[in-house]
Amino acid sequence: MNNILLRSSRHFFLRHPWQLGLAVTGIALAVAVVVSVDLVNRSAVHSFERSTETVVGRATHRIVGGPAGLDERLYTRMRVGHGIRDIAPVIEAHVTLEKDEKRETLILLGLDPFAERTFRAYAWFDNLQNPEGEGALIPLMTETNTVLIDAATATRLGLRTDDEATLVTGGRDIPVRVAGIIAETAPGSSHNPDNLLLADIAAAQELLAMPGRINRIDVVLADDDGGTKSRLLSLLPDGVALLPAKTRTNSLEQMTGAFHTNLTALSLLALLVGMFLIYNTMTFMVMQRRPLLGRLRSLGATRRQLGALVGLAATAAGLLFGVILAHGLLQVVNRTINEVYELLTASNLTLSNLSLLKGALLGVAGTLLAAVPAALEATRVTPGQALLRSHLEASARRLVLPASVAGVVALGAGITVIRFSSPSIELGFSGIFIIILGITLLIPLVTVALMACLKPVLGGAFGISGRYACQSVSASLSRTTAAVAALMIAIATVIGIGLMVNNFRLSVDRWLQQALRAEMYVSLPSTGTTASAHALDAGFADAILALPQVKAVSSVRRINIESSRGRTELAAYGLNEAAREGFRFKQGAADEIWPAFQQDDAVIVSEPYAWRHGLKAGDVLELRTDHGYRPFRVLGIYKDYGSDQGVVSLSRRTYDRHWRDDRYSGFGIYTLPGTDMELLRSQVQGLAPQRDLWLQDRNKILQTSLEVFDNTFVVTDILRVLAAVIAFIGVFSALMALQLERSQEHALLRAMGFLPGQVRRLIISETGLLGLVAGLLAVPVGCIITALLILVINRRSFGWTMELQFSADIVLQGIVLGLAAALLAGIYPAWKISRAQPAEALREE
Amino acid sequence: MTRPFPPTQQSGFHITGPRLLHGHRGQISNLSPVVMTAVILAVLALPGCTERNAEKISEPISVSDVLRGDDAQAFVRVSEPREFLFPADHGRHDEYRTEWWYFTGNVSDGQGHHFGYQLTFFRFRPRVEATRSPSRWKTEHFYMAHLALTDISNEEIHAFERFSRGAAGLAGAGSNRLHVWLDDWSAGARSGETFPLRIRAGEAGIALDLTLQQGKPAVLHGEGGVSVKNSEPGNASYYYSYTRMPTEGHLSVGGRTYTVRGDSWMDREWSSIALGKEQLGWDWFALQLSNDHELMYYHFRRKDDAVDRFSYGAVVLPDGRAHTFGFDQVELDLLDTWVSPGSGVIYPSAWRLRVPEHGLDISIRPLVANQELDLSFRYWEGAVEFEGSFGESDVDGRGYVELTGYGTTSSAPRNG
Repeated sequence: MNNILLRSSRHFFLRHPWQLGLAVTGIALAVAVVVSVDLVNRSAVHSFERSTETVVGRATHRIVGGPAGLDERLYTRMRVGHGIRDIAPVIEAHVTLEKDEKRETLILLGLDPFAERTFRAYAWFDNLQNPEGEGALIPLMTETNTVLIDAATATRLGLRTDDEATLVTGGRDIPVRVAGIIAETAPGSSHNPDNLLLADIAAAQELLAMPGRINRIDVVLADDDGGTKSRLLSLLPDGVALLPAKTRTNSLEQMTGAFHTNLTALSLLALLVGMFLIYNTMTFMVMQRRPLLGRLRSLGATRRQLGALVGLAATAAGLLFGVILAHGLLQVVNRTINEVYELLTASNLTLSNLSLLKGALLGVAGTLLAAVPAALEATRVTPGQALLRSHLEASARRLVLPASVAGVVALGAGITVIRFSSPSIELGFSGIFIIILGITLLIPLVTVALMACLKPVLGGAFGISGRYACQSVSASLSRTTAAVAALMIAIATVIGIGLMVNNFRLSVDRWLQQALRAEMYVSLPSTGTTASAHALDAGFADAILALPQVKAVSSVRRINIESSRGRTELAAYGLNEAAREGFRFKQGAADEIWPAFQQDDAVIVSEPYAWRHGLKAGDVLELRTDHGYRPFRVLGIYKDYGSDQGVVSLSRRTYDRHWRDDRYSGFGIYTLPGTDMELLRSQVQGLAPQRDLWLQDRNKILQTSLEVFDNTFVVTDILRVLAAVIAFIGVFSALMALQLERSQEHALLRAMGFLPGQVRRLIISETGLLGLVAGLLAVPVGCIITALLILVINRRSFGWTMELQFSADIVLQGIVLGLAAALLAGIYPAWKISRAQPAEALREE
Repeated sequence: MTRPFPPTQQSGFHITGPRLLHGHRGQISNLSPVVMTAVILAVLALPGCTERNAEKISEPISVSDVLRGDDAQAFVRVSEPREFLFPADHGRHDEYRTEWWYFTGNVSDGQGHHFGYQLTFFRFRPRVEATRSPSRWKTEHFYMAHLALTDISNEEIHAFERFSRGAAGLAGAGSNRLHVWLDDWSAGARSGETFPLRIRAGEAGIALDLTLQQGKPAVLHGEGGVSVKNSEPGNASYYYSYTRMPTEGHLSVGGRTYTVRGDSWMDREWSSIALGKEQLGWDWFALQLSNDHELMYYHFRRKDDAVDRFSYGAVVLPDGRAHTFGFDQVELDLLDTWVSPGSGVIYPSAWRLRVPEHGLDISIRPLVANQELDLSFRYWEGAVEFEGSFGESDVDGRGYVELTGYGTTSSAPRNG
């Protein structure tokens, strides 16, 4: 029995290869999107774990100082004077390594290999002389500018032992020599280090120009070792703190968590579209085989088997494609994370079995689930009914009202979920999905209603073809609904995300225009979050101010410091009147804020910071100063898209009261009218000839910032396009099936005297109508998605508020896309039908 | 075959030895703790020999290969006697490749608790070129230290090792006085004076804090402190010892602190030398006799199973003068062996040592059989006791023995 069924199924697909092809492609794409996003997310998490293990090792605590790091003598005092041994000095910075046009940002770790036994096994001196370590210890420690590099990075950069490369840091190019490659499987480590440049601590001090200073002291403290802890605490000078090492890991996760959640949600959207497509294919298959089903009543189970077969084939293809796609996506995601978060991420894909399994399950289960209605339907019909399509459509029409009621209920539920789920991003997305589902359930009703309205219009325009088209769209709701739904969701996604990104971009652009008050900005090229090693001094600012065309100079000093709310980016501003204009307050009044900002122990916080930590004007924030934790009053909350982690800002004067740090991260240069920017640029660079300054005028920053912004959304765009492609394939396949299935009907029309052109018009009108319905529905749904993304998701993910505007051309693009897909899908059947001999097509009857 | 050896000449803190005659038999010497050069070299530079498990260095051949390293050629060599200036020469000699401060001793609390201890600091310079750097962490010098405490009553040995760079104040030695440290382990006098000398070290509940008096004057080994190690010119070291340093202080072990007294021995040596290809390992004896004499003797064991002729011994008289003797003036019979339960290595564990010329005939045995130091470099170094006769009278005493190069197939214990 099964054998017969399998053979008949195979026979079916052999006769309809495009059907099989489209079904497999559609499911495969959907699975691919889910798998690839999951893989990318996992790779990123894995990479964080790895980099955490690489950098933090087995440290339980770290001793950190203020913006200038620690005096190295503290370490010697602890170790030699007090016999504390489970400590290790650390210098950490992001640097760029260049080799023959290739360049990568890496973590430079300056360590003492003799102190690393308990912390980072790969750097323990004993392991640096294994055969894999190539006896690198001695050159590493005794020669000048020697480094070790991890095997993966070495391969990517094409570096081998004894090769030279250029290390770029703080605007300087320094030649370094690779003294060895860190073993692929570093002893005592579960992960291989990646993105790692290891130097002796002496070399790190030289490379980063920070003699006498270290960034931190790592500590291993047993839980029950209160004695050592209190001894350590008693040795800490003012402004130096002992902190748990975990805070670092946590903040990494917090930083990019929202980003990855957003990616996952997008991939699920693609799956949703894919499932509609599967439903469509299955329904079509059942439809085609109804006569056979009528004869073989027990086919329900086999149908599912067949569905499973299709699902499996598609899933396998999807997994493969997913892995390939993931490789591509990873690069894009990495660039974003590097640019936006200044973090180093996975450069290699971690193939997680769990991701693949999840994709496989989703593929098969999704296929089966989507096939269930069709299978149920197939088994439920009586032999007599089975031969009548009208039965199916009649039952479909009976469902229009209940579906609409369910749709309204779902809409209400979705809104409720969103309303009460703050601040969960996941629940926010769930709410959006429920709302989309609700709208989908309303599609049959809308379709029937629209057709009723359009019938007279089209009848007037196209005569009988038009009326017939409207009639047949509502007559075949069982399949048109799914097709319209898939297309609608795809278009709505395209519109929704497009509008959101557009609004976002607009907000960022306006904010930049507002915030950038100086004509030119100067700083040292960013070395990431640990830039404190390289900074400019006040003398440099004075020198700039002495230039004839310079009117004023503002300053900023950025450091990372702990607050009562966790690790915090602190910006100390030396602002002039013009620079103050750059701040727009969401809370607090500017004329009250500025005097207090200058005088008091007070700060202003950026919008994301306030959102993340639930701060409002008037609250008190504790910051770890060089004299311990001190309270600072929050004066106001300002708009800032510069960091999704948020920034705490204070005046330079306040900063100087609490931190011993006389350096600056950057200066804003205000010029007299008519200044030659190129001349100014070369003059400023001339003030620091030995350094490659980051020197940009206002327009260039605007441009670069928006480029970074656009790069950030490349991955979003890719996923958006993929969803649209899946939908397009789905709609194409469904509409074509719909039309091909009706070839006999069309032949009959021909036989009854319809001209080929009329039949063509009929077909194109039908698919066009479906496209139009989808497009029209997609406009409000897209706008709803935009609003929800901006008001709910972006807010919850990043704490940003932004303008909400609907631009007509993006909406139009969506509608055109829908119509085009639908019309395109009608062309082949129309062409085929109009050429077919009616007698041929009718022969079967 | 016996031949009198001139006593070491000395005058106050300034000791000058006679000019060395290269290749003259009987003047050849080597370093008791030469093993430590090997350890540092092996640990710091030898690829693949320091895996942490049972595959520890048990191949002194490789170690001696390292000691034979070409780099040694670039360093200042020991080729002629020097005028020893104390306390300056207690300090470091940066221009040489290796250097050590080596303390051993036997102490007891007078209530039946006996202990042996070893505390050693090694300096090693793997590279002859010095680099200038603004960083205080930059250095060409590496330090290693070993601490071992034998709790004789409980038949236990506790051994620890440490490594550090000789920079940033983490480890180092005074340039012109006796002060050497690594982390919080240290040996040094309070000020410009060398004695009393305080040595302090501890780890994992084991601690020693001892004060050492000079006892006898320094003994210069070999020819006026130049100790030749093999036939190649310049393969020698500067080598002197304090052979009996009255010691008192505190020891902590097993949760108890003991007030102890006894005698210590200090070896000081620096050189840029390498071992000979044929030299496999060595047995070193530092014995403090009950009649206020000390005996130092070591011999190299060769790959061809013979005892190397570059072996050396000295008898130190109560007044500090030393009589040296060569390998053919000694009879060392192996009486017993001991198999390490941990490593499976077979070590000698009892000897009969005779120096007919001095009428010395003693039997030596370890106070605790298991004094194997299972560190990055595995060797046996432990407290021993002995009894026998010296001339007409009975003699006994305690001391330290070091056994290296065992554990390889070609190095079973045998009679010397």
